Amino acid sequence: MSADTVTFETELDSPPETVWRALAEPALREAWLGEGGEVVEAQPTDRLVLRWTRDEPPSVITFDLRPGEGGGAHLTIVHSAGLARLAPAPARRAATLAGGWRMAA
Amino acid sequence: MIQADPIFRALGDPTRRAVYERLAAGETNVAELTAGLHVSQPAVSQHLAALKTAGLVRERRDGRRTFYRVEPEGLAPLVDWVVRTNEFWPEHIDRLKELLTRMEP
Repeated sequence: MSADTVTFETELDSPPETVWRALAEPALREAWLGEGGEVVEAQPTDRLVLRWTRDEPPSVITFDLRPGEGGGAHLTIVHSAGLARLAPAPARRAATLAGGWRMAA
Repeated sequence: MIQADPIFRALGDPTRRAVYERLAAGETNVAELTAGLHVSQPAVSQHLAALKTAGLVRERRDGRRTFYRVEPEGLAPLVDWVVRTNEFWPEHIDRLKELLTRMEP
């Protein structure tokens, strides 16, 4: 967990195929999420990565989808402000940095 | 909107992040910073200037010596983003669930 990332997990009653349409089809996605998502990676029905232009600089939203209980779907949403994306750092270094931020805040 | 452009530009550079990380551990001067980082003193000074411009670092003069430390409010825009993003998702996940109930499985 990095200092510039927010994560949510949710169980959905609909199957992954249906949830995928709600994530990946622009009209459906905009109906619940609004505008501002540019698709940068799509792996039906597992993963969708959006560049989120309503943040400046744009942030990154990653949806990970897998089958859930009773025919539903488990959705993980990782929303990153994108510091790590600007300058990729080894995981250990990133963890140290996150620690430094908590100390600073 | 993150409104954190200067923060991202300043911390996008790995060496500058290392400088910031070290300052998060406590106040120090350019010589001490340089000794631990294996980069030239002018380079460290440049990184400090960039961090200062971004509002991330504060300097204190003591006679002819200058000390640097982390500005506690510097990461506030990023913290604001995390707070806003944490508020954004529960509401939009509810909208997604509502949309899914209206979609054909």
